[in-house]
Amino acid sequence: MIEPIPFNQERVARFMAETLFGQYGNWRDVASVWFSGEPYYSYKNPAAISDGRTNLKDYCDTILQVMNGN
Amino acid sequence: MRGQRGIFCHCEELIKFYAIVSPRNNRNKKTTNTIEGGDLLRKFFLMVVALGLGIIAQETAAQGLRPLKPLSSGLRPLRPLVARQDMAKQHWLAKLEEERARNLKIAQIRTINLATRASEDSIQLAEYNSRQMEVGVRMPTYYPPATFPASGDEISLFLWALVYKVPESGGNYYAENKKTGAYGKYQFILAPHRPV
Repeated sequence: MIEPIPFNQERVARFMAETLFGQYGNWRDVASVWFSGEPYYSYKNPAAISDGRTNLKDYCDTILQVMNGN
Repeated sequence: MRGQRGIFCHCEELIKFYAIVSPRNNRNKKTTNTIEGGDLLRKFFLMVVALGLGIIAQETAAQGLRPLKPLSSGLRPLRPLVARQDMAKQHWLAKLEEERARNLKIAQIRTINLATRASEDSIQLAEYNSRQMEVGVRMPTYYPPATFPASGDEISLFLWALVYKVPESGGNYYAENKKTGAYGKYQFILAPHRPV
């Protein structure tokens, strides 16, 4: 097992983001997989997917807004 | 023949000269006066030259030329050898101290630059934190938000937004969600850390 030290966390996160973007081709699906394990398009009602603090729609919208500089 | 004539003429001139300068051989008063007159002229000429030199010397002094200093006035008195050695030692110690202060300043600037750069790049920040942990520096549980990677690539933007703009770890590498089991800055379920 790779030790979850900060350096490894950064490497794994970057590797996972690259891999997921290569797989799905857009950042909304990457964020959705990060949040729930499934791409965004696989949900009929993403707003209903929640972890108790936020839901999938808000999560993905927020990340995309930040990436677009809004 | 020319040479014999030349010698003859020379002898004649010598005889004439001897007749003029010798008072015993020639008692002619006119000649004697001529000689005395020549001496006076010579003396007068010497006086004029001496007077001229005196005037030149006076003018030179009046124009502000300083008299020469004695040679010994520019020499410092010698110090004893022990005092000189002490001075050299103090000078060396001062230089050493100055160099040490300079190195310390450079190290401080390097540390600040490293921390600044690390805060701009999450991977460098992680390396920095790992090194700090290796040397025994205890890491804080709160991490100040990293600056927005304005010039970063899309992955950097995505990861930054993931950490700081949605309710996740807030940048804490040791954050743990006991409900879901997610861990770390990016809230992995620990499966991603398993070797592939």
